[in-house]
Amino acid sequence: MTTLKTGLKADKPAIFSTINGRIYCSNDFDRIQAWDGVWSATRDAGMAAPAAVIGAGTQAAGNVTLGTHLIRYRYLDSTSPGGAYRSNPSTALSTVIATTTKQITFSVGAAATDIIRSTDTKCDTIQVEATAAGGTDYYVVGTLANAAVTSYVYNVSDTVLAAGELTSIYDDFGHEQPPAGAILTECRNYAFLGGAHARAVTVGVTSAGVTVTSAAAFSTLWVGRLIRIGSETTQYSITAAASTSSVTISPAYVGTTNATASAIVYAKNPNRIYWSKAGFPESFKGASRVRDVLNGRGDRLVAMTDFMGDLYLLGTRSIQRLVFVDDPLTGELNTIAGEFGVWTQRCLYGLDGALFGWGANGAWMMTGGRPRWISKPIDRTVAALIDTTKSDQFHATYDPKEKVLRWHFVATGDANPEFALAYDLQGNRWCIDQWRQGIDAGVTVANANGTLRLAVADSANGRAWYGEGVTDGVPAGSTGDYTVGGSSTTTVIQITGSSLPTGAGTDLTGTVLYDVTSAQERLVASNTVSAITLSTALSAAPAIGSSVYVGAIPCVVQSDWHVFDGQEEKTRPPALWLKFVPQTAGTLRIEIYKDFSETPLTWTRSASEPNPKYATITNNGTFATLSLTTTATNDGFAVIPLFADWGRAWKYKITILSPAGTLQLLDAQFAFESKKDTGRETTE
Amino acid sequence: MSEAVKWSGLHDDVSDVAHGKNDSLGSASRGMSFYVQGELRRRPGLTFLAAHGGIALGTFSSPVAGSWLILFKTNGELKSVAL
Repeated sequence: MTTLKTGLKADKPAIFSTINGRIYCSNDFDRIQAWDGVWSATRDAGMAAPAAVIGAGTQAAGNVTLGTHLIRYRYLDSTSPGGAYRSNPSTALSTVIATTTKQITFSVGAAATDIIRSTDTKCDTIQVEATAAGGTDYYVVGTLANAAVTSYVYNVSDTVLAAGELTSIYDDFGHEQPPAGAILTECRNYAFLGGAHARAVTVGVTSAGVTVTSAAAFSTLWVGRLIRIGSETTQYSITAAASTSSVTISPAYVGTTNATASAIVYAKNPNRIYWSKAGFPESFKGASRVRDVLNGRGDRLVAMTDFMGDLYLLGTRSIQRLVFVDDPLTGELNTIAGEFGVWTQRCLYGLDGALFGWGANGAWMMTGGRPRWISKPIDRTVAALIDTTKSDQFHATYDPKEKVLRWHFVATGDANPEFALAYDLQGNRWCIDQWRQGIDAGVTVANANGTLRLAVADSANGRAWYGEGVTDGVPAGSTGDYTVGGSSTTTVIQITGSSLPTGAGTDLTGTVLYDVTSAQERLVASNTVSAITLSTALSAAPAIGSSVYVGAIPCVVQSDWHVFDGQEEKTRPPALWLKFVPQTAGTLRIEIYKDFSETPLTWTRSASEPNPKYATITNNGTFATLSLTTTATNDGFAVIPLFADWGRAWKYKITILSPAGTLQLLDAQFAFESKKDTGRETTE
Repeated sequence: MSEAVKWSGLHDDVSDVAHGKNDSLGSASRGMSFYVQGELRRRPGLTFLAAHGGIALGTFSSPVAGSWLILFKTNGELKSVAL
């Protein structure tokens, strides 16, 4: 574990993109961060040009041809692909070589010299460039190291100079550092950057003043963005950003002085995209490599991706395709029919020759020209669950072992993405997955052997996990289903009857404990072989002999409504049949719903009435409990006797809370034993 | 009883989960995923990778540098984890 960078703005998830052998991280606030896997820390993408014109140097007898030469220098990153990444050049100096040919010696240093070294750690080389006498084309005079060297001598004739490398082959002035952007992707060897977050900041404003201050809440890359104070009707353009705590606005502030005003900073053109020079992902040119997209769509740009060689530009409910050959500026923008889009860049996933996305109008898949709606069966269910105000946290992951694509989302009332739409690519089927902890991000990783695995992160609890295993975070040697021992408190739970796993990375730290009695969840702070310490207290200490589950995956199977022969006929299914692969551990909860009610029916059982085989029914409880352990000796078939109630529609819900066991459900069915249980309601 | 109610298990070729049929398990199945063979089971669990979380993840690999997981943390840190 290595810290590559600190101090980045992290109010929004950053976007990662790997381009030309480096990974880039963009957060629309700080300089894009670049890393090549070898550097001990990330570095700012791109290089700033030399701030000043090259100094005049000292002339002496030499080989430089008589006449007027333009001389300048720039910085290079020789560790970049081809050693070609570079900055823009310094301002050129016009130098006259008079009377006799000369050489020019330039002093080199950190300051107050003809050539100033770059402070950028990526820059290891300085390139000096000059024109032939009276010319306008620049050639490479030579290079020097960006360290230690204290002088450089220009001493070549124009004949030699012109035999060298023309600098224009690398686009002389197309090497600005990338601007701020929320979305970063690669397409046809170009890096594309676009989108912008609107950010709330607390600022200090002065009536008639042009300076706005904050507690280091500004980005120095916000020049050109707009700022609005409170709900005022005037918008101000940020014309300069001297520091993270002070920006200059235009026009002067027309409101009243306020040291703690609420403000929003946002992009004037949120649908503007920028792109790099081809093959130079850190070289941008804001004046010309720029274009506004999604025009006329009333939408905002939230995602971009390369798909089949074209750049797809996605809003929340619209898609455009940029088709270009050599220049994105002159490429053709095609609007894709339909109303599909994505919540965020992270809700896109390219897989198996197709592009998948999930947005406000559902999940879709695109293999050709336009998206096809694939989430129709599940959209209504999901719409009732999601909290769209937290859509920044929605994201896609792909499990390469299960071949399941998931879109993680925050459910109403939750703070983190604990649910996911899961799309089984092999069966084209849907279900909803659930975790006790938030799954805030995920990525498919490959180890040195090329094995693909899903890695996910739980930000709130500070854990990264592989998306594989029996129960969430519990080593395979432990069930996660534990019995509470004596002397337990609300924060330290003694465990009896089993030994808890210990050791860094193999203990229960970072998992979530579920107290079955109180139905409360708590983060496990640490554990010993016999006790679990919680990060926050339960409302009451668990009783001796009660159950707690650690790492349990709550698991719910819920049928749609069974109307049977039509609603004109009432039915009275006497039993629910369950068929599963026999196993030796685990319990199920069975709930039954009637006539479209969202409240489960109450089970009744008199004190003298025995429990049905395998199941336990508590009088006036809302569920029956089926022990899979006790059914292990049979063929995995269980019959749950139901009620004498008549109803027009029936639904069952099967919940597996215990982490023990590996349930594989084969069948579930309402069973009728005779015709008298269907049709006309009896008064029996 | 209609034949339609005789749901005979979730087999890959015949199940019609989440298509709104009355006899399907439906779109409200949570915490479950499918075996290709057509069984319903829990989704995979989680196995420890690192004692750090993040709100965004990236990955990077090269023949020289190896394979890495990159975490973007809420405290503004970027961390790398060797895979």
